[in-house]
Amino acid sequence: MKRLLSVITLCTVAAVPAAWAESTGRISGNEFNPAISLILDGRYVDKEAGDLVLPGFQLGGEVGLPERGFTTGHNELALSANIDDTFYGALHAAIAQHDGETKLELEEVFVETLGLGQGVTIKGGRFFSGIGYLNAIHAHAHDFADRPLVYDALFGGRLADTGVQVRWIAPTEHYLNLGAEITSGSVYPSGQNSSSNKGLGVFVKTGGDWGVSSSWQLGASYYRSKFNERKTDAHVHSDVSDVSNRLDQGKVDIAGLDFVYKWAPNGNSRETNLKLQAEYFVRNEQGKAKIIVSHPLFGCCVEAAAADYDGKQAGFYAQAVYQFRPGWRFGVRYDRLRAENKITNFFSGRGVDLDRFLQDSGLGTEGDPNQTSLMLDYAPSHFSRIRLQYSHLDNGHEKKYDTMMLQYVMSLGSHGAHTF
Amino acid sequence: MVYKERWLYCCCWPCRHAWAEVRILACEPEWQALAEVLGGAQVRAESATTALQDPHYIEARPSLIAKARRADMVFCTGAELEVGWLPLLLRLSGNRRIQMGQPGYFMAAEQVERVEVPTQLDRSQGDVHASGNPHVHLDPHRLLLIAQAFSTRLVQVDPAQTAYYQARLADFS
Repeated sequence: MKRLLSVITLCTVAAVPAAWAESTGRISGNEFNPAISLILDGRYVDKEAGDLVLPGFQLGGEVGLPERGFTTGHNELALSANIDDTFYGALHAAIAQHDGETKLELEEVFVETLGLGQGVTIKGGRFFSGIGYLNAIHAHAHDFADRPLVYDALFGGRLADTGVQVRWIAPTEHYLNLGAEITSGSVYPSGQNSSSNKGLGVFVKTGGDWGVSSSWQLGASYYRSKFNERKTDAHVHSDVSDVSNRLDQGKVDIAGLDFVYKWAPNGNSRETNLKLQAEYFVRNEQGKAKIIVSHPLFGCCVEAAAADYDGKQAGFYAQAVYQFRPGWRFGVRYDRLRAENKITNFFSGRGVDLDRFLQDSGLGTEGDPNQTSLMLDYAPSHFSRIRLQYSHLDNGHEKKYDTMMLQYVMSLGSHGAHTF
Repeated sequence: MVYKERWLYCCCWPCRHAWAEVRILACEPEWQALAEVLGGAQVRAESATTALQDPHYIEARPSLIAKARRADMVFCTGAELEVGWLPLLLRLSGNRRIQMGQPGYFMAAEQVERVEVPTQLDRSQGDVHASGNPHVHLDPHRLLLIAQAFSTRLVQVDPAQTAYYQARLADFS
């Protein structure tokens, strides 16, 4: 019996417990079903047309402004269960529509040890990196409808890669969590590398309670990788049909600090609560930056211009979310980025001058991009939420974006757990 | 398992005082009180929540992860009351002693028959408990059954103090 119980997932409590099934003598094949949860996300977005341009940042990964009008957002299907008494496994897939195409994307697919002992946990597969605070948290659990600018600019949305992670919780009165991960390093802000194992991340988290009403967490993290080739889309959509940016023989390293503070009267967050959150990251990257165009005669991939690039970029966000009455929250967030890029040994093969190169490669720096967002949301239960958000983004170079979003986030199926 | 851990505690100065005690992380103050009555001086029980908190709305926050990491036992209600944070807390703790199926994993509601087990599950009825009413501590008869089961489990985790625990249970009953 104990053996049987140990195999049953912690999360499939929504299914009929085995003890009950036993007492009724029923035999069914579906008691070991994994916990299934489905997140439905839909939105209406009011904004001007145009792509996101952040001067000084060669954007990659999954960034961009939300699509205009009515869109189904980031619908997420998650399956998870204890595999046996040693392993836990989970799959999170995102189903989203981009430009009329439906895409199924694997967000996370991993297995993790369960109670290996001595506070050690090993995770393998594709997972959200443990660096930063928001990085490992799924979009539906974010407090705003979009990600902070610093995640878009430096991580291409978030850092999700395939590899192995080891975490250790120290056996001390005070919380101390050390983690390290080796990943393929083939995703933005890194790029293709011959051995697909160049990503290295380390993080440390500590935290505790201040009295019964407050708790906090402080984290520091570091990521570095090397790559042979990183391809990103160029900002220009000009006469030349196919233009892309490439960073060859590059390396990148990112260091960050994150802090979260939560307050609720007597620690009872159900009525009112306050959450303060801030993160700061600094990124260094070097490589040979190239603009690649397709040529009408020679076909694909002619170098239009190249230069040595040494970039130093930083960004932070700070936000406060206050639940002023049960179900109702108000939030404000401020984002700011800064880039200092050195471009040397500029070489132009096809009449692209330096100004054009700086603009098309995204490496030319201007003022500091910054954004202010306001949010109001209502959650009738902890399975549903409706959110209204306004953002004003100034990219530091002429462009200003005003975005209004109305979003719903609904959770069906198994009861999700609340991470700090 | 317990002996191996104790050997480690010898080398670990900050946690040396844990030498002889069974560390119990209770999810609610009711279970902390029961653990203290049944375990006496041989246990050190802490509660993850206070009476002023809704045990359904708790997060697996840093201080709780640190407590779960060092606990020899978790003593919770079960029946989905702590579903929003306990499974995650156990997973994050990396502590084998308190995983489901281990002697250190003790759910009060699993020890007794629950009332109001719904025959129909639908979220339109609110956040219903599929395993029935979790308020098992309110019934004196059920509470006694839980106390007996917990005492048996204490003996399993810390057999050296069998006589002591049995005497405490006899006093309580």
